[in-house]
Amino acid sequence: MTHDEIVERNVFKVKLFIDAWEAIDPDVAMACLSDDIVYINQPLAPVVGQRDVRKIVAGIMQLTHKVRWELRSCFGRGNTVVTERLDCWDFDGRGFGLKLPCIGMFDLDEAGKICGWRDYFDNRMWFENGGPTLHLD
Amino acid sequence: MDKDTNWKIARNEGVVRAFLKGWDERDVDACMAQVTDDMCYLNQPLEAIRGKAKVRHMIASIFAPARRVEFKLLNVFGHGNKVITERIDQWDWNGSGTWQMELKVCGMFELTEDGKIQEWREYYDNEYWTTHGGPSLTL
Repeated sequence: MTHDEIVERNVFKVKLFIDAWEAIDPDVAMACLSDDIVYINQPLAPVVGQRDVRKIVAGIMQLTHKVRWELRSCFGRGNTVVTERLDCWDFDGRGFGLKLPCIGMFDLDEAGKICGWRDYFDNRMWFENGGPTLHLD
Repeated sequence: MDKDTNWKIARNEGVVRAFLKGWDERDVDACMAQVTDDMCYLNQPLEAIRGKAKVRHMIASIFAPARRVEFKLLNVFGHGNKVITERIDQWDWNGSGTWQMELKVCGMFELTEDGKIQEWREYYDNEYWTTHGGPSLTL
């Protein structure tokens, strides 16, 4: 594959991952991630591996009534894809009470799976507006 | 991508690198040379700072208490009129030679056709900033 084809494949996979969040489907979301996935909500500690990342992802999804990730930017270079987003969360069925400005950086492996996911956002905004835990207790 | 597009993206990446180098050198003139008169500087989710004079004032007031700054660039790449930077911003506020702050941050830049920075949106944890010696980010 050429560089542009790899980037295109990677961007497609990241968008598939976002679709899985909007569908609140942990199985499809986790299928986009590699076995050795490293998930970091900066500046919290990394969560590593399918099993632990699934706990966080499924845990968030379980408390989510509806979610929409509005993409403001999405493009790639090499193995990396950037997503600049407004993540709109409805945790109580009363509308999008949290609209979180966020950037997510994704690294993809040779097989086209997401192996690194680093989200950058204001943690207080997340937690004070109903966002569930982002680390394993 | 055609040649012209590639050239512009490379130029934009160079402009953003020059802007960030201005931070390493705490040289507000070098920073401001890369931005438009109507530049918008947005530290998410804080209030946007608009216009060259106000942005200059903000940047100068961040530089004032800093003794040493080094932005470690993890990723810098452009697409269209945008450039993303993923960074660790290292700050020494007390002159001890250590970094009291290592801020993990992403900055999205939007540039004009003639290669000036028109908008800069920063994403990071504000509590980390304020609890590691960072000065006020509002005017």
